[in-house]
Amino acid sequence: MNFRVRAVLAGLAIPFVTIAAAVLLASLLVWLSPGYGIDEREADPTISDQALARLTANRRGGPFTVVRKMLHGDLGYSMALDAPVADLIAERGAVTLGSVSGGLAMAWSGAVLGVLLVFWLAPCARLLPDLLAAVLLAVPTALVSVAAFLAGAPVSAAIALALFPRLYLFARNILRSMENQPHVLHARAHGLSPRRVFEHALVRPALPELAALAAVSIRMALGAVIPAEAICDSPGLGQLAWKATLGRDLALLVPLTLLMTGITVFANTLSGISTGGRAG
Amino acid sequence: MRLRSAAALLLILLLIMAVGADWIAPHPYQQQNRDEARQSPGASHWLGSDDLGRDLWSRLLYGTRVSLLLAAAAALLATLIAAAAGVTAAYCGGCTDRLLMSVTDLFLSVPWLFLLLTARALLPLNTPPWESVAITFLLLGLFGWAGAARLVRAAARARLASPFALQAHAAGVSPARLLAFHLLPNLAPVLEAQFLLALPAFLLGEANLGMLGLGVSEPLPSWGNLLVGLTTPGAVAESPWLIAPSVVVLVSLLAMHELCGRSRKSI
Repeated sequence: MNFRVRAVLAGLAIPFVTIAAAVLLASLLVWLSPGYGIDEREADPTISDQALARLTANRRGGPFTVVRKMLHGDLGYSMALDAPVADLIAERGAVTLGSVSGGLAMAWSGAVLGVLLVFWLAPCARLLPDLLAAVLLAVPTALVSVAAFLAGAPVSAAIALALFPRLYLFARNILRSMENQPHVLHARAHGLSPRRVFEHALVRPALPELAALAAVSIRMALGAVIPAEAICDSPGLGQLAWKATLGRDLALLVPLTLLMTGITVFANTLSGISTGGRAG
Repeated sequence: MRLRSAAALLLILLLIMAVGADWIAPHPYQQQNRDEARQSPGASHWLGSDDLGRDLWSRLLYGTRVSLLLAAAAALLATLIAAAAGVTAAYCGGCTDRLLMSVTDLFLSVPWLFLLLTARALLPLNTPPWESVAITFLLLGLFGWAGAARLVRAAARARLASPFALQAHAAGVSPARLLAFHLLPNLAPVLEAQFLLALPAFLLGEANLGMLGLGVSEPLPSWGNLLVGLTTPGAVAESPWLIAPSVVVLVSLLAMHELCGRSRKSI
């Protein structure tokens, strides 16, 4: 088989294998979780032996039964929140989608502004975004969320503040690595304007790496969702995960983690595709 | 260079204060005095007191000890696991390499905080304080090795293909000797960099877990649970001195980033 075709097939297979392994592990955890499959009707003395046998048989399926149920869309039931997991995820997914997309938009705007300032508009003012990024990088996301909450800012602002330093520093380093490349020096020596050097010699060749960073930023945002939503009291998936942990509700937490893993694998695949397998 | 020296000095000072908390702290960290609740900074309480009248300065000293020393232990554990996985994958190659890297990919694919929460939910939440410390930092160490393992594998492969390793092979050096005397000493700078990278990341991880009520249990202080006081609405406005621990966390992590960043560059 052609080497390139084999590489593409391997690239596509790895995310599927990773997700399959994660599903199996997740199912094992749900199956082993305290209280899984226990039906309160089993304690009912009026229930017939036949019905009792049917109820008991229902929970003897093992982790593969959990996988089968998950594949059929039955994500289980949350004991802590007394609702089907699928309904909870659908309800709160929209809230998280809004806050994550808002946070990503704000963080990227900040990072682009910082990079523009450093490489084009005012290179002498590079200390400003560098200092801001360094300070924000040293603050736990939960503390940033407290500050955002006290200031009355939305959850997306907390996510943006947590993401900005990482995005800005990565983007700056990518562009900085381009700065001393021969084509950039050549463009400068030819007297091209700073704008043209920035656009054509710096940003354009770095686009695959920046696209990979954009994909990876989805994963970063998911990491910031839990503290941001839990602290800012936003009813999204992050807060749901936190409540599930406090309530030791693995039946809810595991499908949630699985969902996040799926999104991360998707983002990583996108990142890998955009760099042609060089990163991600 | 001056900034780096200042950062190093600050961290050394912090470490001395943390280790010597038993002698420096004016009060025991768990001693409650309800009559002195939420006192502003003064002679008896240098950084004020919390809701239960506990001395914040003493709690900060002990909290720094718990967070700094155990984050270092967790970073060491993560680096050791990464070294074992990375070197084994690079040395054995083939199926072992593929299997180990698949496990690494699996760990990298699950968002870190979600993985920590899932593992934390499997364990009892109302654990005794010292058990909660062990659980928190053990989880950080056990789940924080994957990224480093990939880098160690790449570095180990490069070193195994270098002339000195090939010459050692040709001279009939045993695999154990090759690993212990030729490969690992040459991987030391990479492992050191990974350790330095993991340290602030684990401190931030513990602070996040602590603020969510899933880290170190009360009454034992840590950077994470010292920051919990800030989440109470109106607390900062009423008692602004409550932000003192967050300033210490911020300055320490800034110093750590400065020092670790420069060290990584020099490596």
